[in-house]
Amino acid sequence: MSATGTQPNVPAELGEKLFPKEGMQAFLDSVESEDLVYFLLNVGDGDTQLFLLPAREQDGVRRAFVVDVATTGKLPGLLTTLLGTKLLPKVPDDGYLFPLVVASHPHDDHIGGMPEFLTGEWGKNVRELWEPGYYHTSESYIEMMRALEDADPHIQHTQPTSGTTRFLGRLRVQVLSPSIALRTRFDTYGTDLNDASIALRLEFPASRVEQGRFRRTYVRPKIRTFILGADSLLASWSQVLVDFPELRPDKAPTARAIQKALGRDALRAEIFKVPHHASKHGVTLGLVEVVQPSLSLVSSVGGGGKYNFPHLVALEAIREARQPTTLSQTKRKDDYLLGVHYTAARIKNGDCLGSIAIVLSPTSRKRVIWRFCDEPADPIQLDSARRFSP
Amino acid sequence: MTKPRMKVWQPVGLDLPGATLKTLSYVVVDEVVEEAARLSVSAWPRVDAAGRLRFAGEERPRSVRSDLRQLRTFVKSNQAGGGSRPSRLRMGTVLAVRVDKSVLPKPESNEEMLEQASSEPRHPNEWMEPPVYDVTGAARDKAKEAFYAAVAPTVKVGRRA
Repeated sequence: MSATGTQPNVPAELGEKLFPKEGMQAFLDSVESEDLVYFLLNVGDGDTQLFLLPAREQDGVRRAFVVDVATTGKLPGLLTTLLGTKLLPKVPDDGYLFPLVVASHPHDDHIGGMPEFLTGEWGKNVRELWEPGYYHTSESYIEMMRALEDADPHIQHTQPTSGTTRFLGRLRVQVLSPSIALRTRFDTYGTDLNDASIALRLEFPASRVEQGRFRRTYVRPKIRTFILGADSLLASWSQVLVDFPELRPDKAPTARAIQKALGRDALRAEIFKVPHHASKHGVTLGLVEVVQPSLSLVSSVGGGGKYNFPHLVALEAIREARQPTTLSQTKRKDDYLLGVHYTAARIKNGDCLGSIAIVLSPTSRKRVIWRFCDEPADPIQLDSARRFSP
Repeated sequence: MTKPRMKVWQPVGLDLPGATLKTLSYVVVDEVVEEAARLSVSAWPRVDAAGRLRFAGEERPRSVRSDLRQLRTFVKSNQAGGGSRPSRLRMGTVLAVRVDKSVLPKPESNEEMLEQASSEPRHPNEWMEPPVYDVTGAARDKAKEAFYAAVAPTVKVGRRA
């Protein structure tokens, strides 16, 4: 793999003390039943993401939400590992472990494992599939649609556009892109396949009603937010900024009224899954300044490789947004202090840090970051869990 | 259980015997970033009784990095069907060509991950054997069929509205 220091876009090796090895039990113990658990799997230059939703009060069982399946083995392997643990004690009785699976766009590094996922054992537990409606000539796309045809009618198919919203228990899933304008250009070759990506904004918790005896109260909890950028590029983000205008604090009556209606900055997010493996075509300084993420996650091989992801200019945009240098010449902080984490990062003994899990509480600021030390071709072993302890 | 019978896919406009088609690979320009392309290489597909394209299903497509300029030159020099315009290589273009798979890393293997991390693209001469046929039009039709058959019921022949 790539050697640290040989290229400026290779993530710096990190001290082992930042990531003490704690193992499976500590990882499982860090999760309460009402927590959201997000996994960003290390699949090289590709995306595979799994959300374990909080356990439902009715049956105490979690549902899951999947965004992209780049490879055939890694996600099913993780699910099999989790099944039977307190995180996923069983498949729900209704069979729908996955109320929603998203195929962000039909590139192999996002749907390469989707046909097997939908066709295999876990596919029986999928209720709905979102894909952008951009037909592609690849084997992965054609076989994914064949799997969907064979699954009929148990998998509902949807082509969402910006604004489409689905509530998955306590998680609100909103589509930022593609906009309707981009969507209507798909069939004309007028849209880059990457710009067809389904980019998402997630809000957790989505609950707004406090239930008492003979009483309900509308509440506004502190929310945790994600933006999952898929492979969206400039055309996509420019439409997003039109559909979801940034609302900077402003005392003008109009701005206050709009802000009240929408709640808060529409694109601000705590956790930013950086688009297109931190390609220079997918990230701009302006975009990251609007999002203001405290955590930016990069899924790529980590310097070099087919496209030299992550691109230095994209990383610098993220760093600059987190640590502006206009008025100061202070030394740039380390990436981990700026909240930038890479699936391809390594610790100083050379071990890969690999897949990332983030545990979020709906009621407190708890945020625990775990790493599983897997290479892209390796399965995830919970025993290898290391807790990020800055 | 016996495997369902399938036929070799014969793209419209590609007049080759089935025995020759079987030796070809289905090569898709899957991703393009500036002059770098990722090619998705599959065994030549078959067609099932429902007329659907079916790939071998035993492994994922192989992923090969290519320099788009080299690929363009290679295709221009070796494209069959004389007189036709050279292929426009963009995302979704599909080439039918004989491939030496033995030099390509296996899908989801450590070798593939090492190749992902390597900065050197593979020259088409190393793994593609001329001639090259452009079957993009026929492949796009099959992709559209796959899409619509998945999202809406098919209709019987002669029952079109």
